[in-house]
Amino acid sequence: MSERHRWAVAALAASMMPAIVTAQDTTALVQRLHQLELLRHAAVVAVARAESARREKLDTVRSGALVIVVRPGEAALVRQASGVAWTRLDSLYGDEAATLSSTPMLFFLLGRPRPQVAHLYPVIADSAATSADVAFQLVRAASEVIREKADTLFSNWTGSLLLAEVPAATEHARVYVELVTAPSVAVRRCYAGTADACAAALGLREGILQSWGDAAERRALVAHSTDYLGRLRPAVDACMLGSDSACLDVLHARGFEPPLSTDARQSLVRLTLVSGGRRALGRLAHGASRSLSQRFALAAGMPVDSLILAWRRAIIEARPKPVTIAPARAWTALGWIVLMGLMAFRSSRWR
Amino acid sequence: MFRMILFTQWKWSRLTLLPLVVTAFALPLLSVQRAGNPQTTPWEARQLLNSVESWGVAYPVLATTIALFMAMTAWSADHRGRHVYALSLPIPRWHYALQRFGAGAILLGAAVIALWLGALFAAGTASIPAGLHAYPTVIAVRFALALFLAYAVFFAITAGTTRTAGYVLAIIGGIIVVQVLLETAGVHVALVPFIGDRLILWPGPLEIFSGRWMLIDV
Repeated sequence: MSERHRWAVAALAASMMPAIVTAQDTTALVQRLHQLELLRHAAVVAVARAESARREKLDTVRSGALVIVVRPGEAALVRQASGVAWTRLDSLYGDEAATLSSTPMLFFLLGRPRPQVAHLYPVIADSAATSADVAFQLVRAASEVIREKADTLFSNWTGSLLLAEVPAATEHARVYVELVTAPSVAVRRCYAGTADACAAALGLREGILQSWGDAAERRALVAHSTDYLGRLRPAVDACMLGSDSACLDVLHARGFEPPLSTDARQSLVRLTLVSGGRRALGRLAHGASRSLSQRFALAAGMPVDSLILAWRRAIIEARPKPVTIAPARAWTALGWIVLMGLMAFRSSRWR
Repeated sequence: MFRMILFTQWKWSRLTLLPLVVTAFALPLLSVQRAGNPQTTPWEARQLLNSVESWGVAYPVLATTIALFMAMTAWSADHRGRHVYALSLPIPRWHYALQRFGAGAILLGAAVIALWLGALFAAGTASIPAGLHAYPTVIAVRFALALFLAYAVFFAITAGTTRTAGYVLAIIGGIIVVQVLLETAGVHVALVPFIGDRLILWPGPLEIFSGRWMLIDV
């Protein structure tokens, strides 16, 4: 090969190197991360076993990705509960529930000393707890673990619990009450059917404070939170005198919650998981470079406006039944009144 | 004659009926104690609905109490006098029973009107959050139907002989005993819930008592 060809081959190889290196890096990194995660899990379980063997004999109960260290006397109860809990977790969170394997839990009953094992996530139940109670506590603890693993933007947005164990119909009925009662322009426009307003009310828009409603609503929000003002006192006074920019400053400084509560936000997450399949929560909870609305679109596999309108439809359909009497019910009651009356008139007392 | 029956039933029942009528007037007012601010947050609105719903239990309980008392009062004098007065009248028994029933029903009307006025007053004076509505007339109609139905049931039972009342009690007791025996034998048959559902679900006779009794709702 001539000197010229050698240089050409070298230049070509050099031009391809970044792409090869990038591909190798990404794949290799994922593999190494996975291996590291497995090693960490094994190490945590080994440490727990070693500690328990040194101080107190403990059993390990496994169900799906749930790993629970427990006293032998409580193992049967936890074993029964963990099966129920895992089924629930798997249906709630899909593939994301598998990440629980890296966080073993330590179960113990209230009133007894905590087993001397560090590094494990504690799950506590009442001494009279049934299998259903323990399953509830396991789901609750596992949900917190999954929430802690999600990035801050998402976990702050969903609130203290990732998904509450409430029947969807009950949750939707509660959100319906919010939709019709929240004193917010964005919520009222959401109820009227504007997807953009729903996104603003759920806290999914950038610059959400401006999109929530009008200056009067922002002033009312500031007026509701006038404790411990400190350096914000002048801004609050200016806001009360009509300065909208001062109201915005106060709200930005103090932090604020979107007009629709965590119940409403969690119901949107639930719908997203149903629409997006088993990997939806992973896409939703780990996407630091994307905004929340982009993540929702990606997780649900549909444009965010379509998702929000589907959510709104579900909420409106779950409207609690108001106190009305259907004519059929009234006629039925009247029929029974007449029937009972006839029985009294036909009584055999005098025969 | 009907006027005399009405008058005597009024005399026998007034001392107990009047406090019950006042209770019927007060109940809607008590149920909206939490309604105070039309600019409530959703959380406060939900608390208001929970409070109204918890008071809702009192409506069917009050209807049953008034009906039981009026049905027993209607027949108590006849039972004490062994029906001699009724037998001495030149009218058929069904006619006499109808007049007793009618007199009691008219007196029950006072409780219905009191509850309706109380509900209208409560709905008019309470500050109801935007998005929620008051249903004073609907709740009064429902109370009336529940009250007259309970009255008809208790009237039919008290109009019969002691033996009839015994049969009714024996049937209820028998069902409970069978359920207990089945459970003891390890046979899981939900007899009581099944019969209960037939009674309180449409078109069962007690369906009007079930469900939410909400003066304020969405």
